[in-house]
Amino acid sequence: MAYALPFFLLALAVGLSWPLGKYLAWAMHPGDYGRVRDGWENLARRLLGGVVGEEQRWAGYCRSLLLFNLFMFLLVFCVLLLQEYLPLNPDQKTELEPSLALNTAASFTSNTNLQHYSGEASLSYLSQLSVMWLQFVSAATGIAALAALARAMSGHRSVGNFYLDLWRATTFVLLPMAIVWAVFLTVSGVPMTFGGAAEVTTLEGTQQTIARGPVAAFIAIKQLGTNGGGFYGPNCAHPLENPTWCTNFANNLAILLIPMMSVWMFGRITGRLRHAAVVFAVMLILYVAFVGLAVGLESRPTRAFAELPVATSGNLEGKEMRFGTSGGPLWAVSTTATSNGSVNAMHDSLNPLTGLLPMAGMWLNVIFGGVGVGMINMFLFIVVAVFLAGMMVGRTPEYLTRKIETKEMKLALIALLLHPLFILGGVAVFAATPWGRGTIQDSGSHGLSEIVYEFSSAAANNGSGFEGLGDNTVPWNVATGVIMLLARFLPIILPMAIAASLGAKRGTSESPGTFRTDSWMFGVILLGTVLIVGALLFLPLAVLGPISEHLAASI
Amino acid sequence: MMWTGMLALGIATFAMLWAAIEMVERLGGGAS
Repeated sequence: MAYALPFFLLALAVGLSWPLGKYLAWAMHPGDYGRVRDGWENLARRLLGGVVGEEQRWAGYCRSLLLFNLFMFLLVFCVLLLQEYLPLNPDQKTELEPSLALNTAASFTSNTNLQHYSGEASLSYLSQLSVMWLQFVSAATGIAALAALARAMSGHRSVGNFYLDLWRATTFVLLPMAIVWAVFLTVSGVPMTFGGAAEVTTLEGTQQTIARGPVAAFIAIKQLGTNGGGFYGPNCAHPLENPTWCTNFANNLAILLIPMMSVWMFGRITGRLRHAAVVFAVMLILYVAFVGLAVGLESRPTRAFAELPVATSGNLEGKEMRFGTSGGPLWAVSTTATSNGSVNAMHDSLNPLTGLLPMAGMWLNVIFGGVGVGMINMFLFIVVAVFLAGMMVGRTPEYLTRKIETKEMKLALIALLLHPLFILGGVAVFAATPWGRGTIQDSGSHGLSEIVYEFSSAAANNGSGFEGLGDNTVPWNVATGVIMLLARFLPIILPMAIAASLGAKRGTSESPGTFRTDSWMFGVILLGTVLIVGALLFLPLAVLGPISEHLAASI
Repeated sequence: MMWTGMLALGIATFAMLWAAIEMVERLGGGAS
């Protein structure tokens, strides 16, 4: 029975991803216009002027992407610092501490939504709305980047126009889907108001202040855009963010949907749907394995409960009973596999080996991954897998008929090594200094896991927290703030350069000796590459953290 | 004036990313 929820969720997500992926490809692909579509794009041209007119090559596209995101970063940084003096502040919230403002602006610009504050206690409505705006455009940035990469792989020297792609992703995809989800959440009991906090008298006769706001609109885009930042501090464990089993199911579906659709979009734009299906299958196998393990491991009680003479139904610590026993571990895997970062249970309370799975999801960062960027991350593993397969059979490796050479491999390996560098480097510094050691709640391997999780979350642009960590300090705010920005944009810039480099080459004709990337054999090699590279990079960290904690509790 | 330091840090990070594009171009990325 514990596996019924994951099964239905996955069946619905996979089933919906196919037609919606077709829609996403139609929305982003410039070659397939209709009358309505033409009118809408002309409106963009009138509103945004000349910036949407010119076609861009990969470097110009990346520069526009950076400039736009810099502008958004500056805008939100200023709003957070000046919220005390700005409108839509009925509860008189004061300005954020500067390093927290840096962290928050970087976090929402980079689609991470790591939060070192409680939204309902710290942000005005204007600040909440400004970060909600970033949840739209940061997700749209990811979709735009993948569309551009796919065009580059198709051999186009021009990869499109960033601002036009941003318009397409926001208005054709994210806005309509977010409206549907927000209406459903509002009907299901999630607050949607600008009326300020509610003052109520409780059954005991005491006065209570209940924070409210435009929560439904916020939650809809935070799930669909793999953003994950909560309106309330406890995120989707809070009863006003996620009140019922139905909202929990709909939110979990929203987490998975656009990352899955992105894979099909890549296949359609490159004209390689069979190849996309193989990549989709590899991601799905990893996701099913992670969910199966998480639900199974979490069906056992904690060590403290195992020794008590009472009947238990799994590890219920840190869980919300209204979501059922598998609701917590299922969400924990979904939110970290897809770089979403919202939580409906406390990850710090997961059994040690279950706690390893969310971390592993963030370390690999390709199990559907973030909106658009999950497929971009997988693109790097594909390049490495094709190269390894080519070396094994003694042929020049080719991907989508383009030869992979030294230049592309250098860039792919730099891009792949950045992710562990951000995590391992950060952990090394903070585990050895009071910056990290002074902020952990637990000693030993669990304390190390708290530090590891925080850096993994920042580097994977995930945003979830293990909790048990006093992370609102200047060193944590600055370190994770800078890492979030670098880890967001470098893994867009480098794959884009690789794709443009490959796309500019003359395609070779396929022969019987060509290693096909739409075969099950390629799927096996890709799966092996992801697992072996991931294990080589992160296994020592897993052993020192969650595995060591599990073994210590078992002996 | 800590906010100016934080603002400068954010802008400097974007400047590094901008420089990364230039560096990749110099390495020959993006062109055959």
